[in-house]
Amino acid sequence: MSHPVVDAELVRRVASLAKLDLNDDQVVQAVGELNRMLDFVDLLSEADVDSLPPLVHPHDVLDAVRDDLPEAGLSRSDALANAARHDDTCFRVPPVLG
Amino acid sequence: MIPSAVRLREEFVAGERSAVETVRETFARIRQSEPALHAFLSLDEPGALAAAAALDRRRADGESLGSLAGVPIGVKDLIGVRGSRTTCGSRMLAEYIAPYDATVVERLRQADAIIVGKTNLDEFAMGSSNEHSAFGRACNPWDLSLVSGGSSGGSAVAVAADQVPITLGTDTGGSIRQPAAFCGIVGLKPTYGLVSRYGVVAYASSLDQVGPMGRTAADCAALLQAIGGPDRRDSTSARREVGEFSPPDSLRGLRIGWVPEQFGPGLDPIVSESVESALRWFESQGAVRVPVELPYARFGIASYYVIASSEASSNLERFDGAHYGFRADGSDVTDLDRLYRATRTAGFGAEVKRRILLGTFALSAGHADAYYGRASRVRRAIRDDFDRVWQQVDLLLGPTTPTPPFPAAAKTSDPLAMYLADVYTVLANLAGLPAVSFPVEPTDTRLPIGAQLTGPPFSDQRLLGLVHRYQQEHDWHLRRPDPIGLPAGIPVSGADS
Repeated sequence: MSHPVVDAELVRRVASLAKLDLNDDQVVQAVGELNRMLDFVDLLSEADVDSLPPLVHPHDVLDAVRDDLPEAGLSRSDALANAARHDDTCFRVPPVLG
Repeated sequence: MIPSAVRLREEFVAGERSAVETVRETFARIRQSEPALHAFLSLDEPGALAAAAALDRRRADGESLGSLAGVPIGVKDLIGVRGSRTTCGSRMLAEYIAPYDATVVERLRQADAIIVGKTNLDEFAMGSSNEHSAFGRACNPWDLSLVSGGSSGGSAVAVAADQVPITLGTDTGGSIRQPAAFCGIVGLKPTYGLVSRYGVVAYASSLDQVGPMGRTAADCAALLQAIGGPDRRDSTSARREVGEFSPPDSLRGLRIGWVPEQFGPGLDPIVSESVESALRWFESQGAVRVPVELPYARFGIASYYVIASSEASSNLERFDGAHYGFRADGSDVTDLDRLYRATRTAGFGAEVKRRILLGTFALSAGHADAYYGRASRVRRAIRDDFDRVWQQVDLLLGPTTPTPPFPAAAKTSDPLAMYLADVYTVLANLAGLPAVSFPVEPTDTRLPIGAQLTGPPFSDQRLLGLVHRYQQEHDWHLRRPDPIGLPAGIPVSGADS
């Protein structure tokens, strides 16, 4: 496996997916860093693991679920307390469509 | 010198000291060294004194006292303490007040521990030097020009500098063990699932664990006992109790696995000789050294950084400026999408953005199978390696870190070099295993060196028992840095940007 060439266009697309704005200098820096990281990660292609299923959790156990009983959760005022803007009932944000 | 947590509790219960007295002494020590060290991001002296006074009254009334009664503790600032700031070392959460206690904090309160403050960390626990804290790094008390390690650097420094006897850290790829090694204390990354993650801000959910840090293995065992065990609020919590701390009477016949590749190129000879000295001591006590192989270990760092970054990119989506935390509010923020972008761009530091970008790429359409998928297959191969090793040996002994603590700014311009500082520690996270770092005989240096014991799942207390045996015969863990009475204002590096 050799990784796809990371260029400014790819970095901008990834940054957009991640909702991050990068200026031109930061794009140049990110291109270098991501290429270098992926050069290193190419090492994984040497691992003979095609026949193995992915391990996405360290223990092969099912989620422990609790009884589905109603109980008090976070109060509305507690939930709103850390928001930059809110009224008594809702978080306030700019228009969804500009 | 501060007594151990176990001793402090004994003295408190026996009426030899009051909790208020302990807290006053604690803050006096913190005031003396903290300006130079920056181990804490926030302190709560009034709250600690109030808790101590209540505890003193309960003792006077003859009430039962918890397992950590009267013991001051620092909590990594990634763990929610109701009513206190929980910044995660990030501008994003600089003003965030936790609305509820994490389970581990609730259990500290049940054990009658006294929380004195929140300790410094790399932003969102992403870093190996504490230099990615948005509020300036914690400094290594052995030499202020050196890094403390990270990400739980503040927790390690607070113990090493005798500010508090025990602290909580979190460990995703070595974030408890590496700073423990760099600061000369004990730090345990528990078996995945043994300690609840409820109320702990997530970095990489399949890797994160909360764990104890302290000067002695016995203190760490007491703290683990207090915080561990099943939690109905964490669906990844194991249905297992922590178990008793019962150090072995004899080490005869103990099979200690030793991975020759871990002692090859890449390991500083100073660290190698120190770890060897610990191995030789275990052999002198009747343990048997068994060479074993971990063929997939060489892929550990690559696998880890793909998986951890992928999970981080997903977990950190929640920081959007709408519900809590920092919000960018400029005149250009005219719609919701711009709010998200402006908030995240201004709120996250450089290392967090770096990992979000890598993780977003590794999970993106067309690349997910080649990167996240492949890294996860390698993760299984690494866990299978360990499963085979546990057929041959009882535990593994090796280095915690490839080098002694390094100077500040030595690796900040080279992210990959920083990542390689975790080469020996990420394996336990990928495989979900318990691993503990403990200070061993330093070679040719006055700086601390850590060795790492790794064991099968749920052997946490057994590992601490073996470290306890080592500590009964050695006093490396009792060495202290030179007394820190430095004037305030020692410069610490600023935030990255």
